[in-house]
Amino acid sequence: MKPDLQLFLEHIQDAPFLLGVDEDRWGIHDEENIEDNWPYIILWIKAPKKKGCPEKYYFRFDLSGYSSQAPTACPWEIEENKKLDSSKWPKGSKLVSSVFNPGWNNGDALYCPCDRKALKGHDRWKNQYPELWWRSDDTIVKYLTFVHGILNSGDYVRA
Amino acid sequence: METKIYLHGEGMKSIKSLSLNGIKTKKDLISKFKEQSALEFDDRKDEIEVFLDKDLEEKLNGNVDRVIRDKDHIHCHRCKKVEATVVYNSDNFNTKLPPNVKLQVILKRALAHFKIGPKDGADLVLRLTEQGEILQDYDRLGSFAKFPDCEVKFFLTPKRNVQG
Repeated sequence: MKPDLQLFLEHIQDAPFLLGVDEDRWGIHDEENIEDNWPYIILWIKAPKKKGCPEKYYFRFDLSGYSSQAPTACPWEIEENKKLDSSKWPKGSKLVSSVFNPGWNNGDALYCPCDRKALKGHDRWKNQYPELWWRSDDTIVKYLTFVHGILNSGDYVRA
Repeated sequence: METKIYLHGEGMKSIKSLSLNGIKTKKDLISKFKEQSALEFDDRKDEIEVFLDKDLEEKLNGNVDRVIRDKDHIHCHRCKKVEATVVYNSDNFNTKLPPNVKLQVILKRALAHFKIGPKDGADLVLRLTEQGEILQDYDRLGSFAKFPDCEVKFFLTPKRNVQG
């Protein structure tokens, strides 16, 4: 079994990930086929109930090289199995729209210090946001916790 | 079906999932906790208490399998109470609570003390240092405190906007 997949499987059996599942903060879509789908894994993250907005957002993660290499993820349209249309991305005035920026990098990734694509060219984030900067001993929980925190902030207004 | 609990405690950096197979008594549970904690304990004098999650003050009495259920949270600590200080804009909020209390409770009480409403409060988080990692609502107070000091200081800070 590939070492990145092996490590991911270990991490999703650890308490911090399991607690997030038990408390309905996040979960794995199509969990039975993780090995077949590797390194592309779809996870969902819960959002607050708002009229006309989904209760969950899905993200397609590319976990190749996990965890020495940071994950990268973009919002995903689960019914059609493709990138989520930018009109449906989460929106807010400050926190949310800075991370969920479909105009950045062709909407291929979230704009945050724990995303592999966003890390490139943002070395100063290592000192600016040390708690978010991806390190090789981090787990998927770091990324999920950050996005869950953003979606469940007062700044999230709608899809 | 195997019963698994979430174990938190003094000297434990993060929560652990623990199977209750073979764990019958409070002593068995404490023994498992000591294996997980980064601290050294003196069996002759350290009194470790097992706090349940059902009520702030409730401690484990009786056999484990009669009291603890699947996915329960258990907190092990030598402190009976922990003094928590929350710093916000050079002002302090102080409270003393059992170590098994969730940080969510501390955060709520601090927001009330500083007269911060729900909308503004949703963007504030607790950290151990002003630039440190965001602490989660489900973390327990005791995980950040050590005996015999039994105290911890938090900083109430905003979630930060990521800018390029």
